[in-house]
Order: sequence, then structure tokens, then C-alpha cells
Amino acid sequence: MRVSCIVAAEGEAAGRTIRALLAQTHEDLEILVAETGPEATAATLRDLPDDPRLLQIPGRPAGTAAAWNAALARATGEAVTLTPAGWLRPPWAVAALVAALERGRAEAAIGPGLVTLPDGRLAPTRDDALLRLVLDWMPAAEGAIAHGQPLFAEHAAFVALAGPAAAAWLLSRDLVRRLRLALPDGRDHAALLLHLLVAARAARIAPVAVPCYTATPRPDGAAPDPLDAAAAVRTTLALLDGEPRMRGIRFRSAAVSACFRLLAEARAALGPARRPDLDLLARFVAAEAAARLGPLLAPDELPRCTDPAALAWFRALAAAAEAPA
Amino acid sequence: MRRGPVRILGALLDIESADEDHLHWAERSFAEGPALRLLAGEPLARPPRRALVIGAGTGLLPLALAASFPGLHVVATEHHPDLAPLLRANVAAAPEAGRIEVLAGLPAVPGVPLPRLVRSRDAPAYRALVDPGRIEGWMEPLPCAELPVEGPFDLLLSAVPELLAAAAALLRAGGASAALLRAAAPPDRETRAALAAACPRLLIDCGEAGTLAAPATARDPGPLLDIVVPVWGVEAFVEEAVGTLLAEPDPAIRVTVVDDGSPDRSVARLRTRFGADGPRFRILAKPNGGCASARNFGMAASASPFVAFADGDDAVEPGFFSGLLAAAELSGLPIVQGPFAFRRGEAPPEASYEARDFADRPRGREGGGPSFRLPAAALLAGQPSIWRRVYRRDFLARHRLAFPEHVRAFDDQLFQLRSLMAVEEVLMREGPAYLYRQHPAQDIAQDDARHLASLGMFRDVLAEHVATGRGDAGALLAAMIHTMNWSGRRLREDLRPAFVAGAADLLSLAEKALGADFPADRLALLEEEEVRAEHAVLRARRSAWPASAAFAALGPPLASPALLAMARARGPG
Repeated sequence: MRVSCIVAAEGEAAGRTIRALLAQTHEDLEILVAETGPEATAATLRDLPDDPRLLQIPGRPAGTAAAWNAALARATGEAVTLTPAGWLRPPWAVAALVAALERGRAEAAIGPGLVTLPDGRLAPTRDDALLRLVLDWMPAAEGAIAHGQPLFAEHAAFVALAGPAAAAWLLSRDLVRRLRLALPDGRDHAALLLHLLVAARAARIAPVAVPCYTATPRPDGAAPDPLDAAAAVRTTLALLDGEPRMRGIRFRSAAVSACFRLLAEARAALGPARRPDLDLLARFVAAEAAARLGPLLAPDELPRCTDPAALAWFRALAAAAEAPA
Repeated sequence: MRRGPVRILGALLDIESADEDHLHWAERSFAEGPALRLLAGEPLARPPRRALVIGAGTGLLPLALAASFPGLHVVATEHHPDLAPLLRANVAAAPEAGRIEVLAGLPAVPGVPLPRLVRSRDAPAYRALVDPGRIEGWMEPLPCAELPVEGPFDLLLSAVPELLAAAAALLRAGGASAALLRAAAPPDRETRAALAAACPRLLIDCGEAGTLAAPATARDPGPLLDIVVPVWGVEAFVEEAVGTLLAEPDPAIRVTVVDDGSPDRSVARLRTRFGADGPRFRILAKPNGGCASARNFGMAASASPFVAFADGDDAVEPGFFSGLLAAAELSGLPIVQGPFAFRRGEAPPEASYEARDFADRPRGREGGGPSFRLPAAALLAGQPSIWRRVYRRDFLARHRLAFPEHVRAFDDQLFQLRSLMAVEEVLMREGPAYLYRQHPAQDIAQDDARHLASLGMFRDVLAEHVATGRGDAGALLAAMIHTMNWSGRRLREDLRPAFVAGAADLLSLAEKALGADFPADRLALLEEEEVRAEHAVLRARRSAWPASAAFAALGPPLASPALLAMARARGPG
């Protein structure tokens, strides 16, 4: 299976990402390097080997999402991955995702990741435990969780919670087309939208047990405006509105929790002076979602999936959202 | 007559003036205008030690220079027989008297003939002093001496336009690190280049027309103005378009055509007609990426101090861009523009609505021709017309202004909004017009989902306004509503529900974000009744939410064709 691996040419860090892709055990790759401006692209391509699998996609400085969209339109592989600049894939990653996709006859495969700590050590992301739960529950012979199966909503809900990380996924080209996938240009937090959309719409999802990516934190100054997280959540929930899976409280609760988790992280990045702004927007977005979707959080919310402080915050938001303004 | 203390160039001065108010005003405006710009607009190469002031009047400028620059020695010349004694008296009374040498007469330069006339004190206005064409009858024979003046000087300031040649000769003879000259009319580019070669930091005060800087780029190869012309599918019009641009008389203007992967014979026609690349014309090629990408590509491929964008299916009347370039150089404004006219088919061009809307603006001659200034807010709600403007490149770079390539619609409107939000005023140079062609195949006439993109665009503009305070909220809201009205008239029926919901949401969020500053009176401009009704529903529903600038971070969630398409592609149950 040919896999299209997409990387935005966002400087030297992207060059490291590409080298890791070139070292994958799964060799049938095309690596689409989406330009983001002449200087960043030049820094990305510097010292890269002359490999026929590398394909440069023209583009201008318009953000990561725009670069990914340009590459998605040019991808020819039967499956697609997106890897943020600076994130690395262990050599077995693509092969593991492809094997899961093929074995499970799935539209999407999802794998856990590792995160680089400030002291250089690697630690599992929170997805790790969640995806292992899915693997434990999933009938081994199936190889994937599938719509229509018992407990699918449970599994899809866990999948919704396990993220967002665009790098976690391998998406079939058919699914990309069916999703009409186009990430919001000029906006951050596109990974949230991608993650929940796939969880909501893929007919079969194959989980993978091995780490499929290593995340590195963004350099200072490259972080998005935390208030943009509220806009991203609003867009994501609007996109999910009307999705059949959102009718189920467990999936809905998981999707909303994933959104609120993003807001909690954004809130933690804000100084005390601006937190009231995000609190206001979070309450507004939650109230709007509750009015449209109904109750946002299941009574027996999965406490393992999030830290207690954040869970307390979302419970408060959800309660406020469902109360009269 | 003694005037009260006046602060000039950082010095507080108390001097005796002539008995005409206009002279005192004129000296002061020269010092507070061009002289201040010369001395404080850019760092001087070194602290000045010797300065020459030609036409020192009653001494405001020499005294201010001496007070502001410790150790500076000033030679002040004044040739008017009535003013020279005043100058001596004012200098003698000042603490800096020991550093100011007064010469009653004209500075003589070997080989440079000096004028033999001086302006009569009965001249009706000081403006006449800088425009000899307006002072006929007010000149008298000059009863003053010619004085040899020895350089070199670090600063040379000449307030006498008739002495431009003499001042230039002094510059060439001794050089100076900074000079301010006065001219009756903007000198030609060759003269400016020669002056700039003698003095790295030079301003030329052209009176009502404005002030010219003679930047280093005047000596560099390459054009002063690059007109970027994106080309795609305009075979029927492009020869005329480029031909009218190349007919511009100013040799400092270049036309840069950007072939955006045009599938027709546009480029072949241009090569046949205009030949190979040269100093005034070139063709760059790129893979197709849309008009915005082509404009950005052309801008990135140029180093000219000024840039303009013309469309490949339009045309200009003779002298349009030459006039704008002169206006840009003289005014120093980041954006100058000319009028535009509509072309529909073979009918004669029809002047735009601006001829009526701006008819009452007071006119002047700033920029070297008939002109008037407009507040940028007056242009925000107008038709996107980025192609009838000349922009200073450093202004575009400082504000990171480029055409948004990811939008594929309304990109020129977003550029117009953001560029106008970053300035207070725009100079409108009257005269030749930009001829804007409207035809059915034009991009903006398409009734497709790209109309939704305008909602996301205005969300970004609103967020920028709230974050920076730039732009006038009323003008921005008017622009938003005009666009909603325009899109609403053209929208496909199946897109209406999403558009109405998004437009009403955007108005409601703007209301919350701006709070008491929300210009509610502009809502009367809204013609879309469905949007108005939905907005009223949202306003009632959200009435309990407090106003907060934070709401500018939100925007209509499905304000793009791509997002709407994704929303409609439902998954399995």
C-alpha cells in the first residue's frame, strides 16, 4: 500500500520529521513536503538526501492547515498521514498503521504516541492508556472497531477522547474524500477537528498498540493564541452537529470532553488577566452546544480520561451550559 | 514686534519677528515640517559641526539649530534688506550668538548665476515665496551683496527656491551629510539623483506639492515603481492592458507580468507585441495558484520602493501611474490612489460613484497635481479597488500586508481592508483614471459558495480591529454589511441558510465584541431581511451575555465553502 506522508515545510524541524519518514520500514511512501514560504522551505530541505520519494508541493506562507490542504489535494497514496513539523515517527510507525488498516479492513488506523519531556526523556501520551483499553475490549479477530458492532459507540467514544493528534492517524484515501477533508485555513487546532471528524464518521477504526509518533513541543512564540481554541471548539462542535454518533450520550460526552480538554490546556497557557476571557468564551460555546446537542457530559463521565482539575472545570461548564443563562 | 516663546526643534525661542504674521508662520512651518523631518526622521550620520542656512529670515531656524546641537557653528545668510537687520538683532540677543555668523546677502558660488530679484514685502501670501510662478509683479531688484561662503558644511538648509542651483553647487563642492533644499516645483529625477549623489540624506521641500526624499534607491538600478500584473485567461484584453501601462512616460516604472499558469495565449501575445524582458517590462511564470498568489509572487520578485497591482483585463489612461508615483514620492504617504472608471463592453468609461461622493472635498496640489486627502475610513466600505493605488513597499512589509492565498475569493477586499486600517489618510490624485472592466466571467460575479468566505474574512478584520484599535468600527461594519448585501443578491438558494446563519452570527458577535462602541446605526444599511431577522433572534437570545472583546476571537463556525462541504458530508449512524 502506498502511503502519502504529508509534512509542512516549516523550517529545520520539518527536515528532521522528513528524515524520520525516509527511515520508515514501510518503504512504499511518497513524502509530500508542502511549501510554506521560501525561507522556511529552504531550511526544511537543507541537507536532505535526494530521494525520489520526496515531492515538493508549491505553496505560500498561509499556515500549517493551508499547507496540509495543498498536499492532501496532491496525494496519490491509498492512505495518508499528517505529521507536524518537528514530530518524529519511529521507524515501525507507518508499517504498524498500515498493517492495522489492512488487517482490520478499516478506513482509519490510530496509534498512541510519545511526548518529549523538557529533560529529553520520552513519556507516553495520555492516549496510550485509552487506546489500550480499546484494544482490550475489541474482539481480536476483528482487528478494528466497526460501526454497527456492539459497544462501537463506547470504542468510538474512547477514540474521540484519545487525542487530538493528527499524527495519530492513518486515513484511507477513500475516507479523506468522503470526509471532504479540508482543514480550516489560517486557524490553529486543526488536529481537534480532524480527530473528532474521523472518530465520528469512519465506519471502521483499527487501533494500534505501538507508539506511532513522538511529539515535540512548539518553540516559544509559535504557540497559537489560546482564545483561538474557543473558535476551534465552536467550529468542531458545529461540524459534528447532526452527526448520527453525536446522538449517543457517550460519544457526545467524549467529543465534548476532548473539546473541553483543549480549552483547559489553552486556559493553562493564559495569564490570570486573560483567563476570564477564555472562561467567558468557554461558557458561551458550551451553552450554545448544549442548546443544540442536549446534555453534554454523561453522568458517569470517564474520570480516567482526564485530570481531576480539568474534569471539575468541564463539569462546571457543562452544568452552567445546561442551566438558563 | 515680539512674539511669544515658540518651541522649535527642541529649543524654546523668544525672538522678534517681522510685522507680517505670514513670515513668522512660514519660518515656523518650515522648521516644524521639512526641517524637523530632516533632523529627526532618521539618525544623522554624525553630530553636525557646521551648518549653512540660506534665507534665514528672522533667525528662527539658525537659532533653533544652534540651541539644539551643542557646538554647532551656523552660518546664516539673509538677502532681504528688511529681514537682515532683524536677523542680526535676534542672533545678538541669543545665548548662542557666539556660534552664529550672520551674512547679509546671497551665498556666491563660482560659476552659478544668482537671481537678481527679491520678493516684495507686499507679496500677498508667503506661499508666493515658494512658487515664483505666482508672484509675478512682486519681485524687486536685489540690492544685496554676493558673499563667498566656505564649506564644507554638515548641514545645508536653503529656504530659497530660486537658489536651488546655488545650493546644489555648494553641495557638490563641499558635500554635506544632510541637506534640506526648497524648490518651486519637483525637480526631475536626474537632478534629484545628482543631488542625492552629493548628499546621502536629502529632502527637497516642494511647497504645496509636498516634500521629496532622495533615497539611496534613486541611485540604485531598478525601477522605482513595479506594477504587478497577474495574468490568467485574459488573452482578449492583456495586450491593451500592458500597452497602456508601458505607455507611462516615467522611465522609473516597470511592468512585471506574472503568468499564473495561463491556459490561453496571453503570454504569447505579450511576447509578440512587447518582446523580451527589459528594464521596463518582464514576464515571470509560476504554477497556477490564483490571483492572490500571483500578486504576492510579483511583489516578492521586486525590490522597488513602490509597488502597484493592475489587472490583466483593465487599462489606464495616459499618465495614471506616473502621476501616482510622483504623488507617492512627494507626499510620503504609504498609500496614494487615483480615480477609477467602469468599462462595460465597448461603451465609453463611466466615472465611478466617487466623483459624486468626494465632490465636496477641498482640493489642493499636494503630490504635484490636483489632489485631496481622504480619511481611510471613507474608503473602507467602498468597492475593492486595490489596483488604482500605489503602495510604499516598506509600509506593506512593516504591516505584513499581502494577499491571502488560502481564501481564493475576496482576497483583494481583505487586502484593501487591512491596508486601509493601517493608515489614517490616503491621497487622491485627480486626473487620469484607472479603467476597470466589468464582465460576466469576472470572478466576483460567480454565485458560488465562495461568498461564505467573506464572513471568515470579516471575522479576521474584526479581530484585528479589536486587538489593535486600527480602522474605524463604523466604516468596517458598513463594509461588512455592504458585502453581505452584495453576496445576498447573488447567492445560490441552497447556500442561503448557511449564509444567513453565519452573517447573523457575525453581526451578533461583533455587537458583543465592540459593546458600547458598536455602531448600531449602520445596521440600517442591511438589506437582507432574513439576516436582520436572525440577528434580532440572536440578540435576544444572547442578551444575558456580557459584552467582551474576547468575542472577536469567535466567528461564524462554518464560514468557508470547505467547512460547509465537510458539514454536509454526514457519516454513518
